[in-house]
Amino acid sequence: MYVSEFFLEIVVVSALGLSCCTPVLLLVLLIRDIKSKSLW
Amino acid sequence: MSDIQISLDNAIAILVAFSVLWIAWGWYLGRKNKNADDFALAGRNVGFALATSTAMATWVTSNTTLVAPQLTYQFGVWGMLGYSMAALGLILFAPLAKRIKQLMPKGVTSGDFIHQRYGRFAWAVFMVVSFCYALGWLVSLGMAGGVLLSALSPLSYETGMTVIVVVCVSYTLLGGLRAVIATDFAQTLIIIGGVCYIAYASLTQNPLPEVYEAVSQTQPELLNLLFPAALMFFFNNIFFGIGEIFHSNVWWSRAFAFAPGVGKKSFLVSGLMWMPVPIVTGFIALSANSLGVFPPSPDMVGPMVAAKVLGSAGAILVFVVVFSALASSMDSLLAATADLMTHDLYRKYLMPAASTEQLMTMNRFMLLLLGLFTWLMCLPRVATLGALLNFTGAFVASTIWPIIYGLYGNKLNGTGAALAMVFGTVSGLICYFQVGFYTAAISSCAVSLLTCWYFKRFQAIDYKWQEQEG
Repeated sequence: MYVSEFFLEIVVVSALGLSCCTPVLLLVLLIRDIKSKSLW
Repeated sequence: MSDIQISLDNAIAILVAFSVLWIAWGWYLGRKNKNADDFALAGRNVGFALATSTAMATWVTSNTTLVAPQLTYQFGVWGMLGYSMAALGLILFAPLAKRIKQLMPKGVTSGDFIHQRYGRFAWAVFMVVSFCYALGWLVSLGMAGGVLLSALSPLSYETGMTVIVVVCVSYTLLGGLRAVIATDFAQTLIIIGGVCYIAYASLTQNPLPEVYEAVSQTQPELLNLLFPAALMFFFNNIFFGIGEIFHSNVWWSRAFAFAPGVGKKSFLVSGLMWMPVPIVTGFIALSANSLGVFPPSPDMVGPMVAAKVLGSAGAILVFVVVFSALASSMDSLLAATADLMTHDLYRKYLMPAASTEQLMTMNRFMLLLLGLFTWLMCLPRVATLGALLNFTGAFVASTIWPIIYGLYGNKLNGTGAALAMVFGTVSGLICYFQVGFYTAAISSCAVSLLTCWYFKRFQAIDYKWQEQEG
């Protein structure tokens, strides 16, 4: 039972897309915490 | 000099720049530390952004950036999917973090919990497990620093290892957990940004249909969903990851340090954000064949593909990512293990009336001691990173059920918890040596569960948390 090209593409592209969002999301959260003075 | 190596000048420049940056930042943040809670737990009020990034950065180690590609290269699709399942540890720890903060608002370490809930015998067994794991991981990170920095640059093993240990000890010593958490944020951005760029460049130069075609022709077993060893690795890695996170003071100290209401959502989000990272780094390894990259050892597949795709810039990027990944884990482990030594050994048994200043001084002394121990143990280069880490799977998976039953149940007694850890570890070690590394954690967890179940069924107690709260 082998993985299809379509399955591999979905998994890899989704993972890359989600990973690219991570730094952006963390920066947004950081700015939000700084503004609300809840960083520490 | 090989394709993946950067020049000595570049290596020194990068190491000096990052070392100065992390240490200066640690010193700056350390000025706010006024008492032992500030130093060990960053004031117990860490916000959502820093909490999420530190959980994620600590879990992204040199393993995620180098061993995930290696496992994909060896086990194929199950290698990268199996590695990404380690995120379950973070996700499942989310409700535990909330419960820990509720039950022990003034707790400091995971040892505090075991001592209160199960008594001295179980605490002693737990401390042995914790130290075996923490020291194994620390030494493996130190060795990884030496091996990787010497593989990626003309620096010697001793130099690379010394730099990573000295830098991490220095900024943790100056800034405590506050410095660890703040540097983790920057390190997360560097690691994830670097990994995504390498994967994107690889996909652009070598589209997925070509990768699939090359793998299915030359190594079709890597695409096989019924690859037995890979399947076993998949499930073993789930329990290994859960055991690592559930028992380790690295994660408990964060649960105590995060602001009220932050722990659960930050662990959940960090787990979800971490999950795709090993798939991205693993995919880089799948491209090796179609790019004509044949690494001399499997753990070098990631850096070699990066160097092939991006040239010398790729080698520099890998060097920076690996250095950040190593530092983000080693600093956390140093801080958490020093806390465990200070609060569970020094304060509990040697100096119960220690003042907050004495605890801070002792915590710093323990950090130095741990750094020195790590450096000395790393010098002879006794084992490989993978061998050391997989060995600890037998230990950590045995703690999963005693911790769950301790946090959520009231029937398991101290003897049951202690024996569950002992029997689990022994069976895990037997399987490790007799069957294979990929069975240690799963067997340890199963035997530990059976032992807990027996004691809950036949020697049940009625423990009341409220009586010993705080």
